[in-house]
Amino acid sequence: MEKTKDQIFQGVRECLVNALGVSENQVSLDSSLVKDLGAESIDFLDVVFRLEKTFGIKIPRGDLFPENLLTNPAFVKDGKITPAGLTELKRKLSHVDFTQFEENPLVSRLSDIFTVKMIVDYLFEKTSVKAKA
Amino acid sequence: MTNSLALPRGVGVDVVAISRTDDFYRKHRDSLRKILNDPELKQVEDSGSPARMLAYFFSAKEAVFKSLDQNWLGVEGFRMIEIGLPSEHEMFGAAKLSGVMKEKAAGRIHEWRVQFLETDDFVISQAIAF
Repeated sequence: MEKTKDQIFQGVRECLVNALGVSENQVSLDSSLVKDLGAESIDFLDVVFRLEKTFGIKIPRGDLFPENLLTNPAFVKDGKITPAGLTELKRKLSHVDFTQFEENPLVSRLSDIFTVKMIVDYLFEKTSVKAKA
Repeated sequence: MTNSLALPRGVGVDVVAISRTDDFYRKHRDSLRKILNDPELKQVEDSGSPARMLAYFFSAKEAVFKSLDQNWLGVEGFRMIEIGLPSEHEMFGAAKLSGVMKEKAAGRIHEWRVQFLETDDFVISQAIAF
């Protein structure tokens, strides 16, 4: 049975509340995991493990978060993601909305794209495929 | 052994609260093998204080990871870094890489020295890549 985006959001919110110790009303679709919810690396692991258990899926490396990008000089120049880097990011993370990030694509702002919405969209895509299989 | 005149190729520092790894250990004990290698897992499980031992491994892996100047490699990235903790008489621990992590360091970095400091609730790891 395919889950709705709202059902997925409820599950994601519960995971984030339990992993990060934040309150339910702090978690909205627009919340950034790092900037708004204070997530650090051990928290990312905690969140990934909880999501895998809650939704019965496996999240492979680089699926939810980008990899092999920041060290490529064609993709990063003067602390900014280049147009080629942006194209690569969009290709790798098709579930992410880059509209705001594109206005000022500083590497230091990259963590801003890790929002609750990004996770919900990713899981919606992933669980839809699983439900149809 | 590294030549004493060798210049570091990278430095990474990480801090982890033992209270946080304690919570993590209790909730995800069954998933630890996704981030720890067998010898590391054995040391954690055999330890009288698994959360503390986990804090050492976790912060060291993060420090080595940062010394490579990489972005997050997901859960599997942690398993690609194997930490050797220093014995009682040693000052530094070591790190051994595998998989994609090994490829990233190939020809550039030959050795890591990992130093630890424990204070109150925190474990601080510093990894220097040569």
